Amino acid sequence: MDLSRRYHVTGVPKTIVNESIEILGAVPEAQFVESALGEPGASTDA
Amino acid sequence: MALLSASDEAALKEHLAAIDTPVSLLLFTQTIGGSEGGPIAKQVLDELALLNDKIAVVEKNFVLDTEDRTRYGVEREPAIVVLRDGADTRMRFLGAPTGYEFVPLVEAILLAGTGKAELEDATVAKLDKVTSPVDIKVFSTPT
Repeated sequence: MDLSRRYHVTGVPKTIVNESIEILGAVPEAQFVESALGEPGASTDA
Repeated sequence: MALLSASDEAALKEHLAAIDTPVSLLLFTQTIGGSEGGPIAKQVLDELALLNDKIAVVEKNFVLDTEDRTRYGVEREPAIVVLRDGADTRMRFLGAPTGYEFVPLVEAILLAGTGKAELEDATVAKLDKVTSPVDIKVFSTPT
């Protein structure tokens, strides 16, 4: 519970990358990689 | 009482048959005052290990095995550390791997035991260019 509070997890799946990038939901693989690696223009609001 | 039915066991056994490299699952639990998920995690892992002789469960004491906790960065229990032929895959599971968490555990074991990731070529190409550590935490729920 402490982790879900710390990372403000109110729905799952939720992914946290390098403590800063948030990816909500089960997104397609290509989109996930772009978001996770922080590429320019990547959306994290899936 | 077993968590897996006979038909589940048969299907899983077939699924895990592709494993060609030993997989060790280090399970950190705390007996006294520990999470209620500890005994459940142990049962899940024990039942999985029975399905393939290349899967081994190694129990670690969360309170006493501090050296291993430090080595594998385990800060909570129950925690599962997945090793491929003794090497750290850096995959971790926190909490009891039941419900929707069970399939990801099985897939992690399969990945560790085969070394074959089912990623798209474009993904692999992007990952090849990663030069600094990437920490990924996925929150899920067993139900």
